[in-house]
Amino acid sequence: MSSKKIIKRRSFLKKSAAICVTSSVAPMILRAEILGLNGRVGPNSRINLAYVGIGKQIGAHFSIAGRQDVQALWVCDVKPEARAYGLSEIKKRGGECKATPYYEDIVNDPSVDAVVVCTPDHWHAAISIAAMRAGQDVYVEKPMTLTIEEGKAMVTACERYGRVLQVGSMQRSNSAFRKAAELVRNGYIGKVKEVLVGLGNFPQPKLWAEEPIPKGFDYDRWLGPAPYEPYSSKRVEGNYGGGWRCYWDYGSRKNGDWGAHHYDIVQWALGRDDSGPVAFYPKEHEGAQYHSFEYDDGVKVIRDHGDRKGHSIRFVGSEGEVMVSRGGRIATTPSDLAGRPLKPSDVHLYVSHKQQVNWVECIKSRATPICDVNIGHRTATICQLAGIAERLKRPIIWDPVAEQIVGDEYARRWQDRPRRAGYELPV
Amino acid sequence: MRVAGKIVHVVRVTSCQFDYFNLFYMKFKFLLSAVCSLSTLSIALSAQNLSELVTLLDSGEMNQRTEARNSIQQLLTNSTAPTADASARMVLEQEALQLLQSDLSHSAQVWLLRMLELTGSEASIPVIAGYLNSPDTELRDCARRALVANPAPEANAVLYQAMLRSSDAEKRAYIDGFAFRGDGRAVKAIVPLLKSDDADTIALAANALALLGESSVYSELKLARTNAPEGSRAAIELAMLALGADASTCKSLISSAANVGVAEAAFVALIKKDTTEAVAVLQAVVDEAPSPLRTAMLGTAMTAPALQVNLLKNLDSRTPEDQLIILSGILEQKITSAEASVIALLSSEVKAVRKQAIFTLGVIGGSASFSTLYSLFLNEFETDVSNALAMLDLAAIDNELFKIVENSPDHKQVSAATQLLAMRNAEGATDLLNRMIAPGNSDDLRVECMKALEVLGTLESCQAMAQFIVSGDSVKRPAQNSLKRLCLNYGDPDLLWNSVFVPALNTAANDAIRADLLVIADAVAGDDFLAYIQKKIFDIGSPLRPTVLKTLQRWPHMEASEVWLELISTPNVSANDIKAAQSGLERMVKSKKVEGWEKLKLDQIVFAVEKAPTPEFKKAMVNLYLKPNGYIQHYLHDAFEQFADDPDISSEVSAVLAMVPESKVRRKR
Repeated sequence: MSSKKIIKRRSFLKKSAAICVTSSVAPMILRAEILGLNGRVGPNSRINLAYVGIGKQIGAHFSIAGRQDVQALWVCDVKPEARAYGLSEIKKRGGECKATPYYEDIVNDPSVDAVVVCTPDHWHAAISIAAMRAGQDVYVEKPMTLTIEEGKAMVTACERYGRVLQVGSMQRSNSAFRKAAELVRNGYIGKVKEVLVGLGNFPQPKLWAEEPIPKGFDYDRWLGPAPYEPYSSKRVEGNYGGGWRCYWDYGSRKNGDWGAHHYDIVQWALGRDDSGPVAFYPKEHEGAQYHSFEYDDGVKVIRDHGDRKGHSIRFVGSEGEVMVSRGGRIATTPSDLAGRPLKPSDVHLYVSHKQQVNWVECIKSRATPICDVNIGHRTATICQLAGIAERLKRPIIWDPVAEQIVGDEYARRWQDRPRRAGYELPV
Repeated sequence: MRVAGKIVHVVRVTSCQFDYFNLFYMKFKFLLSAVCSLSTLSIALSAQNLSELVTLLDSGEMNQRTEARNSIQQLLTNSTAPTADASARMVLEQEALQLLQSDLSHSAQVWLLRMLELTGSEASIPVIAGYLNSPDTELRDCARRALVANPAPEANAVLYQAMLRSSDAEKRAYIDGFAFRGDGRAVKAIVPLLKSDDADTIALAANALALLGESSVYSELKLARTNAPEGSRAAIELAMLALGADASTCKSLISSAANVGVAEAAFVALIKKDTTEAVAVLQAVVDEAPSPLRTAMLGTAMTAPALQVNLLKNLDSRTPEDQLIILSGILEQKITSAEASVIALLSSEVKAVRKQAIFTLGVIGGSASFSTLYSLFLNEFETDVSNALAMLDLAAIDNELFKIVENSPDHKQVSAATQLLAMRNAEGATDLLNRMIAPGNSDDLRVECMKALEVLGTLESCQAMAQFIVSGDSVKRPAQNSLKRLCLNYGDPDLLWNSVFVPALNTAANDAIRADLLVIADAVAGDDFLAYIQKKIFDIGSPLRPTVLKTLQRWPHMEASEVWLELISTPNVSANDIKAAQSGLERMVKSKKVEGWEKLKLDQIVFAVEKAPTPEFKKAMVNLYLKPNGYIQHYLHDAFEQFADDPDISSEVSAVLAMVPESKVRRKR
């Protein structure tokens, strides 16, 4: 760890904060210029947006920069080539913006209304909370956090600061997944018995021989709150077949990758958005062939069971089945369920056609987005608990009301991770 | 540890009172546990393993290092299982601690400290504490984190003492650690830091106090705010709000906060403290010029019943931006009493407001909404309006719609009512519609009812429509459209083929009529119909052969490729058949409507190249991948390299392979 870099960041922070404070000193009465703090424009005007983390996943988010009601002000990344790419993509869409390696530049810029957080998972909470406490709305990629306690802190911050936060579990904005969830939720397949979910696997995380840190890349900052490890390109790369996604220090492996999508749909379909499972079982526990978890009503969710009839998720009920995948693929037993409209008395789930657009609209209307902070937290909690059971190779009993691991004091430590000096979590 | 925004202590119960500054007791307990450990050395087999594994942490082989790390972690975490032998865990921990005190490499020390973060007990504290004085930054930080994660109360005192002698930068890490631990006893250690000269230290101290939830420090925060150096004011204000700022403070913070986030947080807090004051602030805010803070405050106000009423008044005269915020609040809070105000917004000229008002009525509306929306629907047949009508949860609506369908002479009314009955999946609608499509009713009505059955229809509906087609009924054409859509919605293609299509084909008077049914049969694309097609295709003289070839070209799954491959392998295959097969295979690769894994489609194309009846056919197959997507690029080399020397297609193969970037040159099949 480099203390020099931390000092550099700190002095930088002071400078930015000074700008912020100087410009916001105001008298104690309500006046128009006070509510429109620091000359910020009103909701008739465009939403000033910043992007943090210009990696593989950012492409889908740049599309909103081309909207008439959105203006990109910043791109931020610790890699210089990523910043350059971000600038060029904004330019392609007719915009002009600034680039910075420091997200604090964005948080301390009073003209920024909203921030897209697209970094690796270990940075999600710190940046999102810092943005929210500065009065900025947030779109954070899935899974919402790396640890369960970070998730609780995000929920608190979002409520405390009255922000609009969207999590990128974007299968909710797909009509096939919504339809599948509605069929399950409204009992069209009877009582759900089990859910089979396909996540696949990453290669095991590996230590690699240390390499020189590329020029201009702020590796210490990339590591951020995670423990220090010598640099290797394979550790930090952002490909979908491995890279940082393989390492528990920066993500939740497949649980946080596909799990943050499919488990999210399971929660939605089962009506458990404000709750969660009660037990997590690792593969090989009592001879089990698959990782699994279970809800209090006995519904079991089994990971990577092969009998999914070619789909990503298969809900098995007492009177039928629903299978669903990306690409709008949905199949049911009986076969005519998918095409049938819901009844007015059925639960109609939230309709969104694109996660990012839904977020922008909610920023303007202050409506709750389709995958808000509570939903994101509960789904991320499943990803993390599944990971804890997998790593500890023992069952984890979870109390979804108290949000605590039960009966295993050492496992409970895994609900959070102490952060490296210089990368503290705001509240 | 934080639980749903509150602080709870995750500490083990100890029978002795802990004194922050008395390390003597802790050392005594450590010695005691060490003695216990010595007495159980006879079961220390695993410790032997641990020592061996630790030496492998410095292996020249990175794989061996990785394995050593994993094995150590598993060994230590297994010992912490609730079912594990507690004494064995202690022995293992002692071994790890002894190793840490021996001459270990840097990487081994780091890993053992990281493991003690997960598994260390109270007994590990003195050894880890020694590392807090290490000149090595990484070891020092690993030790701090290991102690922060250790729930034993003794760790607090060690961390506190280390913080006192640390630099400002490290002090902040200790403060964060106290907040992480959620131990309220750390408050005394943190409060003095509010007087630091360093803004970041103050900000983090304020953060930690907010997390620890000790309202007794409120006055210290208030004092700190008056002298706050630049950059720390927002954190102090947020801590004040979290720790019990009164209504007057909340109100003043709304207008004087360090940033918008604090101002909005102050408004959120004010609503909870004093709704009367919050209403007064809201009234002032409503008259302000637009701003992000104002927008956020209006949104927040809509979540509080005491404040909603102020915004619901004169809804139609507010700005469209405000109307959207208020409509979202009405929808989310399901404020049914606002129905009349929302209906008034249907005349808004702003599209977004009107759309949101319609949707809101679908969720909160009653009979007034139904009559208003139904009139709108009759006039314009808008999708938004029909969707809202489909959601309106009033039993009386379905009865009214049934009456219209059965008795109304007005075609427009009947058309609207049948559509809505289908969209509402109304109980009894299918039976009614099945009756209404029968010959004898007006053709217009029958067509409307067939359209409605596209989503609600049963096997009986399908059979009736198939009969209309083969019997030359006056609604034959619309029946073809509706039957196709109904079959696609119904699913179960084999059932439909055998129960609907085969009987209808058998009753058809001639092949021309059969062709009228077969032309839509790609809606029942299952194994049974595919077998029928295969039979007809290889019956060269069949008059239905051209029709089934066309149907096969529209096949929605890649299974059709098997028939095409078989067809091109036939001796003396005709030019027309080759053309049909080429077109079918091209569609399989290019059209997103054809289901099937891209890799398997590629495999079929490779077979097609191998079996190609002409060089042109071969070229056409290879050229399908001239613009390959990122995914299929991985497989192209393995697929086409074998044809690189084929004189018919060598240049096409080169062109395709040239499209594949170096990073995707090869993936095992």
